Formats: sequence, structure tokens, C-alpha cells
Amino acid sequence: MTELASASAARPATRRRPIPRGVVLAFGWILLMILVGAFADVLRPYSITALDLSARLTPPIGFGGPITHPLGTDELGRDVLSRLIVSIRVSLLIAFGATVLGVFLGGTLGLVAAHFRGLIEQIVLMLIDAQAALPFIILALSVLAFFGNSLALLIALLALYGWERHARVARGLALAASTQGYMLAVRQLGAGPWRLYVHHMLPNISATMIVSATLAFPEIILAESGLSFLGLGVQPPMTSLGNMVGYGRGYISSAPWILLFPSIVIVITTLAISITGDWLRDRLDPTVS
Amino acid sequence: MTLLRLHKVKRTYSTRQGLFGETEQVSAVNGVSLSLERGRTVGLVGESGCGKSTTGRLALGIELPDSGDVTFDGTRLPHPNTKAWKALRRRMQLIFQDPLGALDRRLTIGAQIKEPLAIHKIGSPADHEGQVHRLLAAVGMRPDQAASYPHELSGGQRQRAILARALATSPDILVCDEPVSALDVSIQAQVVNLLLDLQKEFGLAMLFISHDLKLVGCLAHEVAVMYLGLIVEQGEPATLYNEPAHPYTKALLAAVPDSTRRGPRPLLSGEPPNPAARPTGCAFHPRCPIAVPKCSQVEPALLPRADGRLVACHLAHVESAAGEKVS
Repeated sequence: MTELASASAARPATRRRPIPRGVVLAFGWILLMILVGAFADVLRPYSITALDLSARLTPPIGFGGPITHPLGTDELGRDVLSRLIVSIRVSLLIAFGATVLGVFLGGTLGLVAAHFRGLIEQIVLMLIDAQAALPFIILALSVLAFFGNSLALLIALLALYGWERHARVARGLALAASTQGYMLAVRQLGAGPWRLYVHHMLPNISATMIVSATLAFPEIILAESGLSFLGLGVQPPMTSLGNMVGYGRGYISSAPWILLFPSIVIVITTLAISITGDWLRDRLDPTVS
Repeated sequence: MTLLRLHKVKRTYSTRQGLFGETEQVSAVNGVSLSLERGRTVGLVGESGCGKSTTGRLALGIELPDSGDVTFDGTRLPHPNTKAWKALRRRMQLIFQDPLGALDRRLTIGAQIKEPLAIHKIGSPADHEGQVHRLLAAVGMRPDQAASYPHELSGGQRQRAILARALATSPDILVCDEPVSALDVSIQAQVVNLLLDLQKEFGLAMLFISHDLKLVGCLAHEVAVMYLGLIVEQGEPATLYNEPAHPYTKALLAAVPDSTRRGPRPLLSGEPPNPAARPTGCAFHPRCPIAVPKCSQVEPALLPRADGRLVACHLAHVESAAGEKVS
């Protein structure tokens, strides 16, 4: 305990750095989104399929709408707020799940390629090139046409979106890191692959991998909206942020709120993820003060 | 007692120029024999590219020689990355040239000194903290510096931390590959003195690789001069420095700055030759000021002279034989 105290006294600047306000806001937003997603069933005032045909396309509060539908209603008289809340849950699940899965898949394949070199590396590189050359929508179309549609399948499919980039980044970083003195030093100490890769390689390449993941996150949200728009993603009556934007597009001039609120949520969430990822990268690097 | 013996080790790398170029064989080490003993230091000197570092890696078993063998404690070194090889790491350690590069910048010094203990399962994890403090004290650092990151330390402190990590497993052999060439002269002396103290304390056998002749003279019990993958002269530093027998050693010593020297110093002409295209005969003859026709045809063997020194030069042996006859 005394050691900790003296160590932090010696370097107060790196240990007690206040978290920037932007990061606090971003963190707060992500937390809010997670809470909304977790308690969606309690928070939503109406069922997402509850039709109120007499109150179709009512504007939100402040634009002449009644208090009963704070964010207005859509073309079938469904409550936009309720649909937004459930959409956040579905989209977050898909985007987080697919990002984590994609980074894990790509990162593992990249490290495997860098570790074994030779034939295995060539096979991984070939897979990467094949994935990069194949239009994602065509891949998605064929997979969904053959295997039907489910949330788990959609997450797995979207994980394939961008894995090749993570794999390339991980392989390049691992190749560069393995020639560095510290890797040779630890290998020379007699360390096994687990220690080499998990204790030393991963923390050192995590900064770039985190940035790679935060870039992939908004892309996956957009890819999911694209698929939903084509009718391949989340199937109605279920809803997602992309789904809402897709169907709201037809009413952009008469009832823009249908499309506006999910769009705002997409923009703020992706921005918050980027800010948090950026801060996390600096935070994990002891040389940045 | 000999702890580590290199017997006529050779190591050749193949390189290719461009995609369709021919492969070239570059012999980095071309038949070196050395032996290390407990409590003694062998200094290995020579210009860059002469195979010093490769010899160091071969001695540690990080690479296996193409021919010849390396024996440690009477047994041949195992293949790298095998279980036996990993277990052997405990007994042989390497000190690097670049102290910042050899440390993981994301881990504290304490965590990194603990690593060899964890890898080789020495003591219980509860004891490791105390062990780290003892090791830090042994290399002259404060215990609270265990919580520092590498970038927060000075170059000398980093090299001390690396020494502490290397000593954690109480090794028998320490190979130092230019350990102080990245440090200031004042810090160099500290680290060298520390190495000498640690050698006395732990009875280490050391292979000290450097291009700094003066430094090697200060701490080695035996000096080997390398040229193009071969040892050309080997002996005690006092005699080797006072009357170098090989023309290459003479030229190297002449290049050491000396404030008492009068007149111009004899300089070597020409570049060190390409190891991919070795000159025939004595590898040094194209640059040798005293070469005779025999030098370009017959490769001189590393033979002992009357004073116990090993020299690989036709003329040096003729000289010493003539000198004995006269006296």
C-alpha cells in the first residue's frame, strides 16, 4: 500500500489525470443507450406493433403533437418513441455483437498468420483478399437466402463485415512487433506463446485494434441499416435503427421525425464510441501523458 | 572448468537480391571456436558486420550453427523453442544493446523483472515482490522504481533493470551484446563496474561483445578479435594490446583515440569486404599493409604463439619464430 502511495506521489500527472468532459459525455451517452437497451420492455410506453390508425403521422411535442406520443407516430400510427427504444436494443445488440465478433475473428486470424507464416499465412491472406473482393451485399443476400433470417445469423453475418481489415491490421502489427527487442527479449527468457501474445503482443497492438474496432462499429450500424432497407436485415414488425431510417425515408418531406430520431441516435452513438475509443487508446498507453 | 564451448561453428545466411535475383550465401560466422568459464569474461571485438552478434546468438542457442557444435555443461544445445531449450533459458541470459527496445513499454519494471520468475516457476508468487526488490537493490536501483515504466527511467537505469531481469533466474552465462554502446560514457563506466561486481558476486561466465577495444580491455580476461566471421587473434588483453601480432589488431588499436600519439596514425585502406564474396586465402589480405603473395592463396590457421596467444597470420608466426631464434 505504501509503495502504491509513493509511486503515485512520484507521478501524479499520469495517475490522477482528470477525464476530459467530452469523454464523460460520450461515456454517459453509451451508458444511457445500454440502460435503454436493457430496460426497453419497461421503458416503452406502447407496444411496437400497437396501431392507432386515427393518429397516423402525428408530429412530436413542440410541433403540434399531443403529449401521448412524445416523438410522434409513424405512417401506421405506431409510437415512434416506443419503436426507437426497442430499435436501440436491437441495433446495439447487433452492432456490439458483430464488432466484437469481427475483431476477435480478424485479430485471431491475423495473429495466427503472423505466428505461423508460410502456408497458413498464405491461406489467411487469400481469405482476406477473397472477402475484400466480394461485395458484402451479395454475400449477405446469398447467406440470408439459404439460411433464412434470425438475429444470431444476422450478427454472425455482420461480423464478416470488416473482419478482413482487422486481420490485416493485426497481422501487420504482429509482424512489426515480433521483430522488436522486447519480443525477442521475452522469447529469450523462455516464455511460451501464451505469455508472448497475451501479455506482451496484445497490449502493444491493442491501441490500433481499438481504433480499428471503433471505426468498424458505425459501419456495421450502417451496414445493418442497408440490409434492413433491402428487406434482408431485421424483419418487420421487429424494428432497428436502420430499419426505421429505411422505412421513414418515404415520409422524409411529410413526417421527417420518423427518420430523424433514429438518425440522431446513430450519429451520437457512433460519435460517442469513437471518442471513448480514442480516449481508451491513450489511457492504455503509459507513454502518453 | 569450461561451461560453454563453441567448436568450429559456422553460420551461413542466404539472401536474395530482388524477386528473381540469385540467392547469395553470406557466411556470418565461418568457423569460430571459443570457450567460456565460470567467473571469467571473454571479450569479442571487431568492426560491425564481422559476425560478433551472430556468434553471441549461437553461443546462447537462439540460432543453431550450420556446422560445428555448441556444448553447454557437456551437452549440445537443443533446438530453439523446444521444452529443453526453454528450460535452458534459465541458465543463459542476454543483455541487449538497446535498453529501451528490450523492455515492454506497457509494463512496469517490477512486472518485467518478475517475468522470468513466473516463466520458470521460481519461488511462489508471494515471494516475487521481495525478489524484485532484492534484484533492484543488487543493480543499484530503489525498490519504489519497480512501479516505474521504462520511458520514465534514464538509459542507465533501463540497462540496470534489464540486468536485474537477466539475473532473476541466477544464470550461469551472460552474453552482453554491446550493452553500453547506447549509453553516455559516464553511465558506461557505472554499468561496466556493475557488471564486474555482479560477476564476482554470482560467478558468471560472460561473453562481452563490443566494438570498443578500451572498454573490453578493462573487463575481459581474454580478448578475441574477429574479422569477417573468423577470430584472427586471441589472448590476454595486456599482451594483446601492448604488442598486437595480427596486422588487423594493430590497425584496430591504432584507431583508438590516444592523446599521447604523435604524428599520423596508420589507417586501414579500403572497406571491409562483402561477406558474400570472401577474398581467397587470408580474408584480410586485400587491406593488409604487409601482405605477401602467400596470403592471397593459403588461409592462415589460428595457431598458438610462444607467448600463449592465438594468431591467424602467416607473417606473425614467421616473425615470432625468427624472434625466438635470435634470443
